[in-house]
Amino acid sequence: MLRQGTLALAIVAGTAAGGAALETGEADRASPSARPAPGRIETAKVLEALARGRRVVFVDAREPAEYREGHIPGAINLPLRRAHAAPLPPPLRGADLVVPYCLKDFRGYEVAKALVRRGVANVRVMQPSGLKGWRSLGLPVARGPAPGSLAPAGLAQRREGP
Amino acid sequence: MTGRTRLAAAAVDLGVVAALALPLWALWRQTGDPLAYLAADMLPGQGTYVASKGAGLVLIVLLWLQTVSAGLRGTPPGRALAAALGPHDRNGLLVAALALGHPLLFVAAVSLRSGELVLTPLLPRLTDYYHAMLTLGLTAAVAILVAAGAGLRRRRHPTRLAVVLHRLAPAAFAAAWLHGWAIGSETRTPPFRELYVLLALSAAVVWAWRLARSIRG
Repeated sequence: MLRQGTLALAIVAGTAAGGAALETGEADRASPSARPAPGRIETAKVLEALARGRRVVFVDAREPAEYREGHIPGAINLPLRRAHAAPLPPPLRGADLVVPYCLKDFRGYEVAKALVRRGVANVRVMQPSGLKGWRSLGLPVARGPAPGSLAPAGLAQRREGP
Repeated sequence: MTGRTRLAAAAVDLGVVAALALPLWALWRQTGDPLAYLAADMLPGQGTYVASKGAGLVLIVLLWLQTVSAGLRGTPPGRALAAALGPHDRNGLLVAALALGHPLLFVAAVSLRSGELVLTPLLPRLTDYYHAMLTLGLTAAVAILVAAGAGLRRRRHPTRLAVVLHRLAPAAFAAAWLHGWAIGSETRTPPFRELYVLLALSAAVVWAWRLARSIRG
């Protein structure tokens, strides 16, 4: 009987499964380990890129119910649980900047890692973090299931502030 | 113990180990090398967030094992499960520690990310989907702590109140399960997703059977 050691053994087994996959190269396909980590970018620089007409794609890493309640205009909804296996949304290929986010970028960062692992280029997370950071700058939020769109001119004005 | 019963016991042991290892494996699949979270360029609080998720995932499986083994008490499968799990009280304390650790690690992660102590995740809030689901998880954590405390009290002072409060455990499991399904990522990632659904179905069957048996007297 395992009795006292059940949990300890389970943790060891879990770690061993991970380690074994790492040893066999499975990790390269299954996890973002040993891959470059996504970088960070100030939200002001994202807005500058938008104003210059660069193709910026926001990726909302939250659940669809959260997305409907409010998201960055134009954002694609790709929940973290789907980021590792779902077909990549076509706009991600060839984008000048791909910006995954969630509320505080915990899930956003994990989606960013998954996208980097899957070969998406120019992936960055925002500073200040996530939708909270975006809102703290007075930037607009779209509601409902449709992505909506950003008006770069309006954003530039908003960024300069009152 | 015959060879056949020994084999059955070993199968239950292996099932318990697999049930506890699968969520950690699912978390590893989602997040990758745990050592990467110690890197200097990692976002503040990200590793703490992942640790919080790990605590939550182990918690839900351990809570399921506890509630199901209690529901099956006195039956051959219940005895096999109890033998594999070890002392119910000790596991209850571990469940309580995880129920405390999961939200506290999350608060620590949010605080590290924000650069200041942020306690708002510990406050009930029903303004939006995410915070409503956080509040549900918080309710589950409180119910688990109450049920665990009542379980220990019941052992020394078997009052009616302690017995009733300890029976909050299956309701706490239901709330924790829903919280994990609504805003968890690993809970909806195969193969843990299938186990996660199985946890809910089996707990429902065991407790419906238990309830029907107690109504019949």
